[in-house]
Amino acid sequence: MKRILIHLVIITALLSGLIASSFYLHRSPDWTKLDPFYRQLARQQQELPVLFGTVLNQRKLTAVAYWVGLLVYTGDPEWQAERWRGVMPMTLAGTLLNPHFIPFYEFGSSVLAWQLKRWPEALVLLRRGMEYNPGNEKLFLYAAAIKYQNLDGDDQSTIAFLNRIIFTGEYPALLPPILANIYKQRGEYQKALAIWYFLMRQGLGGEGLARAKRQVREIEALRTKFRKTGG
Amino acid sequence: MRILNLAYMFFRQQLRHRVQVVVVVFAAMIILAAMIFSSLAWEHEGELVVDLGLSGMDFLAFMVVIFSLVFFMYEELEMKSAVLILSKPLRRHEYLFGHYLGTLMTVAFNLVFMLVILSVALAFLGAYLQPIDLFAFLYIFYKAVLVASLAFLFASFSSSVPLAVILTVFLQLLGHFSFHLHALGRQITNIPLRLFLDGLYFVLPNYYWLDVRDRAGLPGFEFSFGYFLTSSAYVICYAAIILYLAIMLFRRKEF
Amino acid sequence: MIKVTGLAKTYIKRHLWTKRLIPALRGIDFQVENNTIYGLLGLNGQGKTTTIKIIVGLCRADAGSVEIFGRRQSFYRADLASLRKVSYLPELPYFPRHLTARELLDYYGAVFFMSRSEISRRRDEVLETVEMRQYQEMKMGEMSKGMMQRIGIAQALFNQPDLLLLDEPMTGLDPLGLKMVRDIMLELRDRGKTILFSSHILSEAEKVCDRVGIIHRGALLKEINDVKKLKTQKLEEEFIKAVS
Ligand SMILES: Nc1ncnc2c1ncn2[C@@H]1O[C@H](COP(=O)(O)OP(=O)(O)O)[C@@H](O)[C@H]1O
Ligand SMILES: [Mg+2]
Repeated sequence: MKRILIHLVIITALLSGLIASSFYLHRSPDWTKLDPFYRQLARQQQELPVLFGTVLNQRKLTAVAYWVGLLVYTGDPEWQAERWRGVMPMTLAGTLLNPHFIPFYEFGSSVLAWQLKRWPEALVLLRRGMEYNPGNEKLFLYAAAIKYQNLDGDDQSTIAFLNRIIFTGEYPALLPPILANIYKQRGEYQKALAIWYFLMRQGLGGEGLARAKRQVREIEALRTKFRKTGG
Repeated sequence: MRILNLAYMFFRQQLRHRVQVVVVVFAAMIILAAMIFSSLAWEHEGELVVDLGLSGMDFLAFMVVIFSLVFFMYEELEMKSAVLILSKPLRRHEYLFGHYLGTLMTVAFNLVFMLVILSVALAFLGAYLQPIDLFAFLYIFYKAVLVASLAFLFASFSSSVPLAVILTVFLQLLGHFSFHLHALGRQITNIPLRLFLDGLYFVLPNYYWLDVRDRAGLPGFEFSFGYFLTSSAYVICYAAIILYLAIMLFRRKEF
Repeated sequence: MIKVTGLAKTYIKRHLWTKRLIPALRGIDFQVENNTIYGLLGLNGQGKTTTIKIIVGLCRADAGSVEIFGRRQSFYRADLASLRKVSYLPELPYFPRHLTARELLDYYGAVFFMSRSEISRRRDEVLETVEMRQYQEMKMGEMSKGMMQRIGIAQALFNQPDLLLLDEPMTGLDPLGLKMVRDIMLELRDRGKTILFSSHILSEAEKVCDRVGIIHRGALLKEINDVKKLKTQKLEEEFIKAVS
């Protein structure tokens, strides 16, 4: 009899502890109101991996997968025919899962803006980035640079703007290559080369260094070709 | 004391059975990831490796529990090596609880090794673990505490190893889904179905509340001391109730 | 020492929705006196193992009662005080494969509320008794059937029990092992211990038993009180007469 009573008391205590903690955890802020996935849910259909990543509580891992996927996708010339249509959906999905992973915005917006010339989409992406990461100044700089280019379509003022940002020393990693690309497109090979050499001196490593070397080789080739045809 | 001895022996047997391979798997994964990411994510490779590493730990901790379940059911119950110790002056609940603790020891041992590997890999990338990552790590262990209690419940009531494993995996999945079913179900007008989803949400183990790994730093989650206390209480109460049921069933078991 | 009254047991095999009843014991009564060797004899599948498992608390009886040392035993609440002085050797002992003989005995010893030094002293003694001292670092998974049986006997001697329940202790042993087990049993009896063992090897039972009970189809057919007074081979005749 006494034993049964003790069991009852223990079980009651455990059950009430369970119920109390459940209700506390349940009632503390309504997470779904803030979660980007749930906020977007009513407005648009979600990609399947996003859905799975969310319901399995693997959002960060799925975002990593999207990031790797994005890099593979943009690096693959096979998609040139459709002009990398997937960049925007992939980036949006990734930022929906992990809105605090900055490279999505940096990389996605610069690819969209400077290479694919899809300025509005790049700005949409950056706006989302700034909304979720108000403390990140680099995103504002990207947005400003894109806006500049966008407003008058004039390279000259963009160049001036980018130069000013880079001159401050606190610039996002992607801006110098963007500036170099603009120079390259305008045929100012000397200036483009100067930027790449400058970056290589800064101690680039791995993928970045390989890319810089590739660019240098390309620009040198262009320059000699230009000299020949010009001269 | 006797319970700890039982736990330690169970732990030791599992190590002899080479559960530690999960650590090797983990190390391979992390090193590969660190190598790939170091050239692909400007200044953010640390974040990627932490996300990947914690997810991997979570999964491998679950695998270790499943391994313990299979090992326990096969060696102790199916092959009946339990009868030798149960015929000695030992109560059934001491036996079961000892093995439960042994399982948790195995999980903790492997998790700690994985954490060390993760921090070394991060150090090579010039990053380090944040305090919240350590909490996320603790919650991975909390999840294993819950899963292990469920595994022992299934081991006590089913005499078939595959059935117990399937039930554990099934509950693991549902435990991850239940919050989202509940959240998505709020639009449903069918009252019985909604009640059913709410029931699942409150009765099943709620891993959404414990997945600090996935929620820390994302919008809509604030990790506070109150949250830490209540979620710890939740884990302890839940696991204790399940273990109580498991012991009640195990007491009736005949060999 | 042991008093078994009206023991009955039916195994229930459930398979999905069907239920199969396997009667194993239908009311068994017997007593084992202090300081005797009692042999439970019977063909395969007649209920010897079931009886012993119920006595040691591994199985629940449907009816009847078991007393050990004059104390009533219950399935749901094991009587630790009497279990401390009881030991059990299962029919087919299966040991954790990854432990060495030494670790295994230490593991079992720790259950008996013994101190560390006591455990290691007892471990060496019992390993010496079963002549397994040189194999103490061998893993259980690598042992032969006979070696495992010896370790099984060693663990049964570990707590210096007053009552030993041995389920077919002679199976799987070589002739030397057989003689060893027989000697151990007789010596224990001489030291005042009580042994209940089951067997279907009549010639061996004949050599050690003081009393035997013949169990058939879950019932105790016949008890023979002074086996020693029977002539050689007489037990076999009695047995065949009883079961046929
Ligand atoms: N775990 C079990 N489940 C179902 N039936 C069993 C079980 N163990 C024993 N039996 C049945 O009970 C009867 C008695 O078995 P047992 O006591 O093992 O016999 P013995 O030890 O004399 O060979 C047999 O018919 C056997 O089939
Ligand atoms: Mg038998």
